[in-house]
Amino acid sequence: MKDKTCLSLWQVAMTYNLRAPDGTVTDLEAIREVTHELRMGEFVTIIGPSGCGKSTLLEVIAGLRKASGGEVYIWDQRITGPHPSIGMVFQEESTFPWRTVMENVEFGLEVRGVPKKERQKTCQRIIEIVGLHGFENSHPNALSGGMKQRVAIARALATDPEIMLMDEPFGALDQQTRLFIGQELLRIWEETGKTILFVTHDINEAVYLSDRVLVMSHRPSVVKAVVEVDIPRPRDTSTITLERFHELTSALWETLRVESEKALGITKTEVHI
Amino acid sequence: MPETYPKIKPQWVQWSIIVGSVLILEALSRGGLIRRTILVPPTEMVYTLAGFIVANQVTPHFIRTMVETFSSFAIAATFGIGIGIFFWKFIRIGKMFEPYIVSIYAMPLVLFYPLLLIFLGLGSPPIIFITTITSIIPIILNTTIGFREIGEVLHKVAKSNRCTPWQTFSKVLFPAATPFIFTGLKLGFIYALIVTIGMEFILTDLGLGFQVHQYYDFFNSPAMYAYIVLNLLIAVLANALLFRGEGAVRRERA
Amino acid sequence: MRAVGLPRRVGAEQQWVIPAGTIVIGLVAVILWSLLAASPVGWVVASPLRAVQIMINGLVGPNPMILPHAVSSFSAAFIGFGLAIVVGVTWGIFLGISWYWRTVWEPIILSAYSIPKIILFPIFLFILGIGLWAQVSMAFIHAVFPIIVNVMTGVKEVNTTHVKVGHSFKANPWQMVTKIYFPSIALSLVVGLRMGFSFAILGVVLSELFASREGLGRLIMRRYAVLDINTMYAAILLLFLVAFAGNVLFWALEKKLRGTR
Repeated sequence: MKDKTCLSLWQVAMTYNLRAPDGTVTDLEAIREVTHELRMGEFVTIIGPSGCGKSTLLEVIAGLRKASGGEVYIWDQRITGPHPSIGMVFQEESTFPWRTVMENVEFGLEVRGVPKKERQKTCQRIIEIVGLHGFENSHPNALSGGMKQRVAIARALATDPEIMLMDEPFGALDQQTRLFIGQELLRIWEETGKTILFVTHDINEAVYLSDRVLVMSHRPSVVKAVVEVDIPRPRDTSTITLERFHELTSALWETLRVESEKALGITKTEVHI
Repeated sequence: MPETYPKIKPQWVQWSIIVGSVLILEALSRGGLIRRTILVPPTEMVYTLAGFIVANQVTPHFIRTMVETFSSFAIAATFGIGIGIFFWKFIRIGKMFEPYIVSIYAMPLVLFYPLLLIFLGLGSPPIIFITTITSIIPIILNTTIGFREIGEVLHKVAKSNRCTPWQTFSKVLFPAATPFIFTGLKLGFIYALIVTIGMEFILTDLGLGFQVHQYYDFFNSPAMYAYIVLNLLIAVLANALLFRGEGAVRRERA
Repeated sequence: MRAVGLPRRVGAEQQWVIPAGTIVIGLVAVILWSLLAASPVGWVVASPLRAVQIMINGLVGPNPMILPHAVSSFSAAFIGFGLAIVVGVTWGIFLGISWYWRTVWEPIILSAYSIPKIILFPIFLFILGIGLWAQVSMAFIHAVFPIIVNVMTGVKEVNTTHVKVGHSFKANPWQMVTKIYFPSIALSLVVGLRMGFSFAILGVVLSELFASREGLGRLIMRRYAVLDINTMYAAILLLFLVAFAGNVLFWALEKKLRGTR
């Protein structure tokens, strides 16, 4: 089962038409070409300099944006819009402040018309998996940033998607919290057997979490390197002290450094996408 | 630099200011420093008001004012939220109307009363019409802002969960805009009350606002002050209740 | 990054579509007004053209019948507005800076904001007598609260990091005010001024309808009583034009300030 390809990206490309306030339009080639395959149950991370189109790529896979070129398949179905087998966790705070934790997690099933009893049973299980037991009736504003992201993860898990897309979900958290919630994520991943495609700009996080790391180049981006992380699992917070961990992070940084320099060199003249 | 402030609780100071002002007015009036026709002692205002209430003299005016305020507010809320959503959906049309919408406050709409008399007749309808127009403005503006300010990410959450347009609206966007809409409704209600009372004061023959005018014309200062006090109390009470409600809505969300 | 291809100019229509739409809406309103004036209810509605003519005649003609009333109304509004600015800005800054006094005064001020101020007019008439100063008092009391509230909010929300940056560069108090505080509160100030201006005019006209010696409100009422609808609408038009112009001016400033942040 583990060898079955569940997500394939084939020559995905993205060019924007940027419109300035005075009405002039400029083409900006954000992604030149990304081709890659994910097997079921894998944890793959995309890393790259800021503005390299990591988030864009994830949104293309999630069906939230149309790529300007190439194709995305989940199994053998071409993705043209949001797919029921894909769940997404966003970088920004995205929980609904007007709903309790339980109601937040129920959202996806509610939208699909699953009866209340049934969806509460499912969601109760998910809430326990992500470690929010006891907070079912709290509102998100009563929770810390890390716990809010757990709610967002639970909300995405509740519809039982095959693939979870995570766009820098821990970007707003401090380093220690990140490490611990990362460990939690690994546990959730092992418990649920999902395929995860994770975006981050943090090299340590990438190595710590994944089976494989894709390094994207600066715009127009391509996959510059693919690094297999051969650190055995289960991993925990002490993984970051291993010799192999340092070798891999150093190697990744060497590749990434050049691209980051390119990115920083022009950020001043850059336009926000 | 850090602020050094008195050790007394601010609430105490606040009440001292309010009670103190009333006592000073009382003293000025009773002590004869200000003529009683100009300033009635506050205790007498309250006493007169109590007398009116006991004699059931206030009721028809109170009912009239409330009916006008609430009907205007209800109409304004219904249409205001609708128009606000329309201006958000069709952002250009919204921007085209914006200069007029923000200027309506400045327009003394009461000047169209003669025209409205012809279309709507005497009594409440023209008042309700003008009040509605004033009350609807903050509701429109806040609704539009509320929807406009919703973060991109909530739209994405709705989309990635494959919500239908109606689900997106009813389960995500509308609840997300609610705190702003509530602020609009709060202002809308306060304006409805202010304009109703103001219009009654200037032009009609019934209502709490009119009573002030009437007793002014009768040179009956105690009665006039009694009704001024009643009007102020109603406005302040409505304001306090609405602020509480708004706080509760925001606390749940924040 | 390299932008591919030459910049193209498309979609520049956006630049004029909105102002054009605004003007079209205004024209439609004038047309509707004309239709109303030509309809059976025309005996209480003057045609726009007539109103403009009489307004101009009444202001600059040989026998300017509107001018003294306009001078009276607008001087009352501007004196009241001016006083409201002085008092409102001072109070707003003071309450914005001091947490303690803000806690004391904020509920009182917000309550005062929400009361129908026009019913206090008889009291001002008792004190000041009928005449210009009664109207000034109404302009003031209508304008001062939105100014206090907005300035207070502006000052309260000045970014404390910006203040620290100012101090770390050893800016003197004057520089702190002109370079840190003022730019930070400019937007709230202009919002307060716009509302204050609108309410000042409103306060004057409403109170003139109740009791006054002269002024546009009184003129409108008197002309209506003798069914001189043309002059009545000329005065209404003048009032609306000034209120609209002032409002849009502040509002444009507001948009400009919003644009820079």
